[in-house]
Order: sequence, then structure tokens, then C-alpha cells
Amino acid sequence: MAESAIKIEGLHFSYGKKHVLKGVDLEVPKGSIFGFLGRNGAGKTTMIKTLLGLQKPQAGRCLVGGLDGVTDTLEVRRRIGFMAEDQQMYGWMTVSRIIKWVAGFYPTWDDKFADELAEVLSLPKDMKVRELSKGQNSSLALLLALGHRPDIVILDDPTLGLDPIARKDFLRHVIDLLQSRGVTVFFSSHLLYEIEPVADHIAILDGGVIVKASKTEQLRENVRRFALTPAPGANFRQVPGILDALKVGDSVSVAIDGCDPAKKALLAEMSVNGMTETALNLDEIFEAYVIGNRGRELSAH
Amino acid sequence: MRVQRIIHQQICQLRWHLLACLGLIMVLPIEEAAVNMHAGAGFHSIGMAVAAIMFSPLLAGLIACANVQGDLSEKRYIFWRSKPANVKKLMALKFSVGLIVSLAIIACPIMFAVVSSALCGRDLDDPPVKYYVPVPVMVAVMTYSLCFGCNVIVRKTARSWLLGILLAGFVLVVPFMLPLGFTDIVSDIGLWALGFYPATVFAISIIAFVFALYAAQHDWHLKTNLRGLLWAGTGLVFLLLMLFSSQVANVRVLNEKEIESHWRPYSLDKVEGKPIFQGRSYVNLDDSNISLERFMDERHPAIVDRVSRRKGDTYCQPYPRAGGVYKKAGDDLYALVIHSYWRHIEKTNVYENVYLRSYKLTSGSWKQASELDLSDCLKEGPLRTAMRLFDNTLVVCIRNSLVVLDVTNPGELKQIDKKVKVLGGSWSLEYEDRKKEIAVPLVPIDNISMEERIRLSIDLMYRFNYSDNDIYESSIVDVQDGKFAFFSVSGRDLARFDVIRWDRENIYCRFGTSRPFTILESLSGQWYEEYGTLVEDGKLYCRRRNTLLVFDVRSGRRIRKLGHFVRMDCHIDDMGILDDSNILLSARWYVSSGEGRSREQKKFLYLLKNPE
Repeated sequence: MAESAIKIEGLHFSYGKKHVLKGVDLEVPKGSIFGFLGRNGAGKTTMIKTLLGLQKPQAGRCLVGGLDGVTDTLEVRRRIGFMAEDQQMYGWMTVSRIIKWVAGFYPTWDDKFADELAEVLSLPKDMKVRELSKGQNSSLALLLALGHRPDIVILDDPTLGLDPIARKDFLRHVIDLLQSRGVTVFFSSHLLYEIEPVADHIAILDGGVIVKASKTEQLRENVRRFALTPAPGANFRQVPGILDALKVGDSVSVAIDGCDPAKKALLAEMSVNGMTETALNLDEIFEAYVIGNRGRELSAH
Repeated sequence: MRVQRIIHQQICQLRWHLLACLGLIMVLPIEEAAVNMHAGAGFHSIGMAVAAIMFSPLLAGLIACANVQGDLSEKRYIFWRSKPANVKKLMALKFSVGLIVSLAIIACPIMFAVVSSALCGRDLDDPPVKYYVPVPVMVAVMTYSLCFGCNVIVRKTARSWLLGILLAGFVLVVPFMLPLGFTDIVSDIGLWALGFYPATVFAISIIAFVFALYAAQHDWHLKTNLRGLLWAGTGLVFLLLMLFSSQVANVRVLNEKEIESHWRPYSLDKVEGKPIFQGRSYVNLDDSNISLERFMDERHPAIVDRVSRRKGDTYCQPYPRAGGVYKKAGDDLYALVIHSYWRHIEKTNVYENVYLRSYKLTSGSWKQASELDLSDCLKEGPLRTAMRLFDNTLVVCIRNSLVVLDVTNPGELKQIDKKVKVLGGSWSLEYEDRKKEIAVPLVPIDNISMEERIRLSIDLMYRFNYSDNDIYESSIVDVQDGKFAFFSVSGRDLARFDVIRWDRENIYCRFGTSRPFTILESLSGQWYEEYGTLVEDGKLYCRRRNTLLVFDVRSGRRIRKLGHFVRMDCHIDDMGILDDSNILLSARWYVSSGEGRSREQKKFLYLLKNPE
């Protein structure tokens, strides 16, 4: 893997007795657009807050741009741009005033670039923040996250609450603005169709651990679905890398990770009359990883 | 972090709150100034400006909550925390900006009072601003800090404000719960104001501030629910009320006894330390049990009743109005009374005769034993009478004259000396008197000690009025270790004047200190001397209607309230300090009889533990 923009090692975090992160290990390559997937409540925001140094982990560490998120908090925040889900800003301020206010925190704030962004994002500078539409609000939050020209941008469910058109618009801006500049984008979302077209890397967080982290294309290559009629006594749990096995009428649909000839041969043995292989989209891959039964339900057959 | 931008943002964030608070705090002074202007006294305000300062802790708390509320809602908190902002520095800046603008707003009524009074040529020290301003301002600083801290923790404006105010109130009164010997909310807090109090306020403010910084840094906050807070608030309010009520009902009642009596007046007097009730019974107090030992036959009227009857066109006015000055000679009990006779001629009362009479208790009734005609003391003008007994010497004052008598045997009144037209008028102490040296004429009597002369001189100067006076049984002068001081009770405060020297003609006095009455103490109305004030053994007792206050007034100390006795629907008629220092009260209760609006009167004697 190339040099890491973000490196997380053995991260543990719990709210009282509730363990949210149970040893997360993750590396985000420099210059990548990294899709961070997980269900609602999986711990994505918790992990991002820990990355930003907003909360201290019980164990493990986060390195952002080579800096420790816990000890070098301010420097980490200076280097990254962050946009939270459903970001709430100071409603009584005008757009230009909040830009000035946020600029005060960054020594590297680029006023010219911020003006350009405001123009690109069509932000009315004299309007009060509370009068902005949701789309404009997200655009403003994006401007405030990018105005200091960060190397790493963390977006936590940035399109939450936006309608489909506004969401597409927003993503177009993000990609236009960031992809060309070699900025590392850490994009957390539970909306897979949002991430699929833009992310070159994917990580899936489930049950407090990263269940899969890989390049997007590689993931698509490696995860396959097979439809077959099971032979009597077929035990799908024996298939290494099985993610899900669903009975559909007389046949069974099996999702496999790390598909290779040996696994295919093993599956063929469990089939009565051959099998068909199909590729999965990211949505299906995510579903297989997160709610897949690992062949347990069909083991008894 | 660019500090100017943060300060600018903070002021902008607070601007509407500040304007609202400014409006709230200035409405009373402006109202008073407008009323004054309407009355032709010029556009100035002092009293209401001072009153407005009393509300400053509430407003400071409000500004504190408004100060950080905008930053602490969960989503907004993440917004600014995700920026490279030094939380402690940012919160400290916010705290400082809010505190400074709070103090600026609190200063507005004071500035208004100073400027408007100066323009109208009014004296700012009336009422004494220095008493009322510093403590509320200090409390405001503490309330601000506590509300700031509460807001960081609770993150709900109204709840934080309420909690902050309650905590500040709690901090203010909690010393009265602790075994620190604090009993007086005015004097002890006033005492604190000179020492402990700024330290406490400063410490609490610092603790709340530092706590707020850490709470913001570590995102500590409570998930409060309204029901829990209401219960907690109710508990705190209850505790505060209990503490406050301990401030107004902290004199222990040792015993009380309902008295069946159709006679009036309900006076209490003493003879050789033994209390006499209504001039008819001794009050026996054995182990705090109250019992009456009647020495007068029920069929015979008391002295006052007998002589105050109208005889033709002539009326009789007794002194003392209730009872007499009692003296024992051997086993015999005597009562000494001044009787003045007057007629109503052409709309004026014309005094024709005045007698000093002694009555001897014989077979359950008062028999006149001796009489001295003092009518030559009567000159033009209204009548005023007083007397005081010093062992076997009785000093009688009639109008401006003094008569000294030997009453070793009260059955034979012997005049020793008479000084005609030697007394001045009766004076009351004004606020202006506190700024200068006062000269009190020394009564020209050589038959009593200098201590008694000074005491009598001061009492005659300030209490020898043309209506009733209690000179025969009490004094407003305190003597401690040879130092004399006397006291003045006004609607505003209780003031001590110290005797600084005396010569053959005058006693020279100067204002020492004062202790303002609290709202709670003035609930039943303003305090005045004529309601009954007496000083004994370093304690001042003042009573009015349903309230008795006891103060420690020893010289060289700050005046402190020791006890507060109050009973609603009660009327205190008279009181006496017993030899064992306990207090005996004669009081009436008005009880609804259940028929229409009529109220039944019940008579009680209370034995109270003298507070220390």
C-alpha cells in the first residue's frame, strides 16, 4: 500500500459499557478517495471524532498525516478539513462573517480560494446562515472545510438530509474540487450508491471492527455470487470466505469473498447441476458483509 | 487563533441579550427619574438605581448562559471543536468578554445615578449606596461564573440559569447552616464583604470557571430531564426557604401561656427583677413555666383605670400610660405615677395641674400614699412627661423642668432638687447627623452617677417626645467598658452613635456604624423607634407589631442580628428582659371566630430564649 494519510491501529472506544469500536485497524492511502461504510450507529462518527481528537480512545492510536490525533490535536485539525453530518453553524452570522470567523482559526486560510469556492458553490455572502437552504448549508460547510487548503478532508455523511438532486450537485462539487488536487478524502456514508462512483478505496465497519478494507475495483473483483442447486448434505459453512447463502426456491444464492478456483471447485461439489456466477454491485457487497449469514442458515440442510 | 475576531463574534452573539438586560436593569432608574422630573425634583434616580443593582446577579447569570449557549448544542459544538480552536483559550475569552459586558451593564444604573444626581445636585449617599452596591456586584460575578459552568454542563439555557441562580443562592446562605456562628444575613455577609466573602466569591468563581473550561474541553455534559431538574430545584428551593425562614424565626420559644384577662392594658413592668403583668400580677417563671400570682383584688381597678376617668370637664393623663414605676420598700409595694389634668378649652388642651403620686398596695388594691404638686413646672406648650428611678432617687421630667426626689420611703415623697426650664426639645436623628459631631446637653443633676446622667441625657434628648415614651423603663444607651453608645432605629437601618467625650455641659457623639434592615425584616412595615426600642447588656431589642429583633450592639463591633421572632396575626404589646436574660413578651393574637368577619382576641405571655 502507498504512504498513509490516515493510519488507525487497534482503536478501542466505548461509551460506558457499550463498546463501539473494538480494535479498529485501518490505513487510508494518500491521495485516495476513501469510502468508509457502515450502518447507522456502526461507530463511523465515533471513529471520526476520535480521529479529530474530540474524544480520547481507551486504546489504540490514530495518526493523521503522521501526527497523533490525541497528542497533536490542534495541528491535526489545522491540516485536515472536516465536514460533519447535518452540520449546524451559527445561524445569526452572515455567510461572509462565518467565513471570516472560521478563517481566524487557520494560519493557512486562503481568502482568495475561499472567495473562488463561494462563487463555485454559488453561496450568497450577505445571507444569514439560518436563511440558507440545506444544500447551501452543506456547500458553506464544505467551503469552511476546504478554505485552508487541507491535505486531508474528512466528510462525515455530508449529504445527510439533502434531496437527491442536491446530493448529486454536492458530490459533483466535492469531486471537482478535490480529486484534481490530490487531496485525500475520507468519506463516511451509509449511502452506497453515493460512494460507489467516487471512492477508489472502501472500508466497511461492522460490529466495531473493519470487516473489509480494499480498493473498490478489487472488492468488486473478489466478491462474487453463485446460484446453484445444493446437493444433499451440502454444508456451505465449510466454504472459506462465504459471506451469505440464501435459499431462493430450490436453488441457493451464495456470496463469496476472495473468489478463486479452489473455492469455485468446492462450491461445484456442493451443486447438483452446475452453477452460475455473477458480479455484485457495492450495495450487494455491503449487504453481504454486514447482514450476511455466513452460510449458517443453510448448514442444517 | 485571532483573538479580535473571537471577541467581535462574541459581542455580536450577545448583542440582543445585552440590550435586553440593559433595558431590564435601566427600566427602574429611568422610571424613578421620570417620576422625579414630573414631581419637579429633576431627572435623577438613586433609590431605584440601587434597587436595580439588586437584580444584577440574575442578569449576569442570563448573560453567562447566553454567552456559551450558542456554542454548546451538540452539532454546533462539533462544528467549532473540529476547527483548530484552543478550547480553553476560546472559553476563557468568551467568559471574559461576557463578564466584562455584564459588569458594564451592571455599572449602567450606578453611572446613571452618579451622573443624574450630580446634574440635579442631589446627594448620592442618600440612601447610602456604599451599603447596597458592592455585595450584589460580587454576587453577580459569582452567579455569572456558576451559570457559565452550569451551561457548559447542562447545555440548556433556562435550566442552566435556574441551576446557577439556585447554586449562587445556596452558596450565599449555606454558611448559615454550617457551624460557623453566622446568624445575621446582613451583618455576617457584610462581615464577609470585608474578608471571607470576596475570597469565597472569588474562589467559587474561579472553580466554576476552571470547571467550565475542563467540561468544554472534555465534552462533559449531563443529559438532564426536566422532571429530575424540577425535583432537584424544588429541593434546593425548599432548603433555601428553610434557611431564610431560619433567618426570620430563630428565637427559641421556651414557653407560652394563654392569659384569661378582661383587663387592659397588657403591660409588663418589673420590680426588683420580678416581672409584673398589667400592674395586677407577678409573673412567676419556675423552670420556664409561666404562672401569674395576682396581688390585686379582681374587683379593684388598676391605677391607670382609676385615675384616667373623666371628672366633669377635666381629664387625667397618666404617666406611664400603662401601669406605674414600681418600687418596693420592705414588704410593701408602691407604684409611682404622674397625673396631669387638663381641660379642653377653645379647641386646645389646657393643662392645669400635674401631680406625682405614690400608691401603696394595701389589701389587694392601690391606696394613694403620697402626692407632690408639680404644677409649677407647667408652662405654655404641650405637655410631655417622663421619669426614671435610680435606686432611691426618682427623676421626674415635666415639660422642660426636672425634679429630683428621694423615694427611699415612697410613702413620703421628698423633693431634693428642682430645675425649671433646663431641658431642650425632643430631637430625632436625621441622616445628616451622621456626618457631623453631635452635642447632647448633659442634664444638670448631681444626685445620680455620671453614667446615669449620660444615659438619661441622651434618652431625654431623643426620646422625651410629646406622646408616649418608655424612658421610665428603658434606655437606648449602651455602656460597655466605660464606652457609651446610643442607637437610632429608622425605617432604613439601625445606627450606632458613639460618645466620644463629654464636659460639664455637653456629651459629644459621632456616628459609628449602621446595619440596614433586610426586606424580610421590613415585611410588616418600616421600623421606628417609637415602637419600642431598648438596649440592655450590649443587646438592642426592637419590636413592632408582630416582630421582635435582637441585635448584638457591643461597641467596637459590627452590629449583628442575633435573633428574629415573628408571628403572623400577632400584636406584641410589651416586653421585658428578665434577670436570667430571657425575654418575656406580652402579645395578643387575633383568631377568626368563624362568624362573619369577627375576630377573637387571645392573650399570651411568651417566654423566649435570649439569642446569643
